[in-house]
Amino acid sequence: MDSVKDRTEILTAIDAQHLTKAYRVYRKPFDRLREAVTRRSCHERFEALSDVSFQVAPGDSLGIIGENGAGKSTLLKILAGTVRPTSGKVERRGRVSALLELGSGFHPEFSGRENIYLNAALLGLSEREVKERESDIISFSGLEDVIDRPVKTYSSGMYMRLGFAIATSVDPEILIVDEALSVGDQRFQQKCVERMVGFSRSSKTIIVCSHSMYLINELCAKTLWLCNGRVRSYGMTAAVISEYLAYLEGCIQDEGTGAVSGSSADGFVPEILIEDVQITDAERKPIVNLEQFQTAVVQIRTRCSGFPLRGHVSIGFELADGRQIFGTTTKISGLDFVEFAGEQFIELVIASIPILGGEYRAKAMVGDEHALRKIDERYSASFVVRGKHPEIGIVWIDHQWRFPDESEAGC
Amino acid sequence: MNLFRQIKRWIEVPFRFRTLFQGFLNNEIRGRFAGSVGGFVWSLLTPLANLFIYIFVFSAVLDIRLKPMETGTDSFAVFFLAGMLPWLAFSEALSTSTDLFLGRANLITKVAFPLELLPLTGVIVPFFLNGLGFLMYLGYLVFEGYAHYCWVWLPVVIGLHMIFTLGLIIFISSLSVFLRDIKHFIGVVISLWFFLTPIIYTVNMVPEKYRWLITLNPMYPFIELYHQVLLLGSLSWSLLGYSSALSAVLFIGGVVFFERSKYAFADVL
Repeated sequence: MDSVKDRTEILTAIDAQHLTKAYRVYRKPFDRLREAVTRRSCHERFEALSDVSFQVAPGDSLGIIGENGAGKSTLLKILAGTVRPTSGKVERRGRVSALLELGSGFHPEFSGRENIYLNAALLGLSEREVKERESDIISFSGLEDVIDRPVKTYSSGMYMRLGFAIATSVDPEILIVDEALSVGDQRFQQKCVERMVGFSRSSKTIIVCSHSMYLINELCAKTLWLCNGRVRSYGMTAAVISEYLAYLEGCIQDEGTGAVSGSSADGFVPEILIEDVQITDAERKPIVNLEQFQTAVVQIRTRCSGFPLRGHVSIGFELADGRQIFGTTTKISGLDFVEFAGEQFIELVIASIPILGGEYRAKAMVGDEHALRKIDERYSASFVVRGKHPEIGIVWIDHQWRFPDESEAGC
Repeated sequence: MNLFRQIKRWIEVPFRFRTLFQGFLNNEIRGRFAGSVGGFVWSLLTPLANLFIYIFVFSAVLDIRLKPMETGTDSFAVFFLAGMLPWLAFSEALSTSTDLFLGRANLITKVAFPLELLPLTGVIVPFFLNGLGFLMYLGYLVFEGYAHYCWVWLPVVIGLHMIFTLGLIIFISSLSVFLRDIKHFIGVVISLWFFLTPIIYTVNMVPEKYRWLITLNPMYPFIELYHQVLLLGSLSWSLLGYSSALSAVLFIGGVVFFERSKYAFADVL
């Protein structure tokens, strides 16, 4: 109840209240005209969204997940302002840039450079602003060589790259992204994700809708799960995602046993998620304060939905500033790959922790079976080691003081 | 009050979104000829081709003779172009209007921008393109000694004609989002309308009993004004008042219709 009170008091970047979008479905186009003329109802009502409310604080990021047809795109269109809700209202504070579709509005006969101008103007930039950003846009898109060719000669990947480069150069306060990012080659996708992470670090508000739990997990503090146009769950990302994945797993199992399920998991990318990283003591009780030389266990919980996947796990410790103290992987340790399926626990047991007093955190990572591609990573909450010795530095090194000269002199 | 604000928006938007508006205009004008070898020449060729066909049929075959007292000229070509050039701009705006919103469905559903810019572009572009031919025509008139101080009214007449066209295409472009059939018969309407407008004939050639039909035609006062100002060097105040009223009514009607229907565009497109 407290949080409800709080929400109304803090300034919000996006305030969505009871959004409902109903479409009128006509069996034939003529019915629409007939209804307009005779004023008699000739349609069926279809609610794409019903009573969706949420607030996003400035600098926060919100993920929107759900199956196909759950109303995600409708919600994004309403947030972007191209579609009007049937009832309810949205308040947006700040410049909004929406990437609902990359490259919409490109003129195929014009060069990439010319299209930058019109497209950026569509997103609200003035000519001077575009001029300032032109070279940035071109270098980010990586299309320096072809920028003066007509865009009709571009591949669809190049098209998207230019579109993304333009849309994110607007430097919006609120960025709305549809899953458009699943296009382009791996390297460019990575660049896009990095740019969005950069946005969220520089305290911009981001709203992302995606089927990639990895992306959502990476970017969003909070997540909204839409199911048949309604909010099924709304809260911290990790909790909502595991709820959603559990639900999807349930659906797959239902289908497997022949039970009828109204929803399917198509469009979902199977991935391994690290849902939790915890520091526990030898009895597996979570702890925040460790004694030096105590037994510590780093426990991670992973979830793999969809098909079982092979991979390797890496666990390490870091200082608060990100400097790594130690790290190891199942591959380095000479272990076989891990078969990920469903929910799993993996532990790294450290019999005696040799780090000196200070604040640290553990970092866990899951990679593919060649330990080449990172699938997911996650940090634990920071923990404190209470030093038994007041030495300086990071790790305990066994040592002894000796004074050979003095002992000789003593003789 | 609300209506006033809606109309004000149409005047503000092109200034507030200047860059985008210029972008649209630029896109339309250059996009029309991008990839074609002839480029701008085509926009001059269409009226020229029309001119030769009509001059051949009406001047050479049917041997229509103009009375200089009525028309201010005895040259069929001069008379014909005075009405035909404005008509071409108008009919081009009209025939492209059905696609203004429909053809940009992808953009309208994906990007939030002021839709008012599209009909505005739809009027300005054809008037601009045909304006080039019109300037050449004016040059010819000056050369032949038709120039008259009454020509100062020309911008007023063109302005009214553009507002009239704008009102009409706002209406048609919005309506065709819901009624796609319009696209298919707009061509027929335009060619019928052309023959009902005194461009290849003068009003006085029409038998008395059908003349009311011509005067009902909302394009009639505009074409008549062009004829008067350009060739006769006179201006009928009643026609000017009539066409101002027509423009105002059509524009306001178009704006009201647009305002009511624009929120549904993204749903229907």
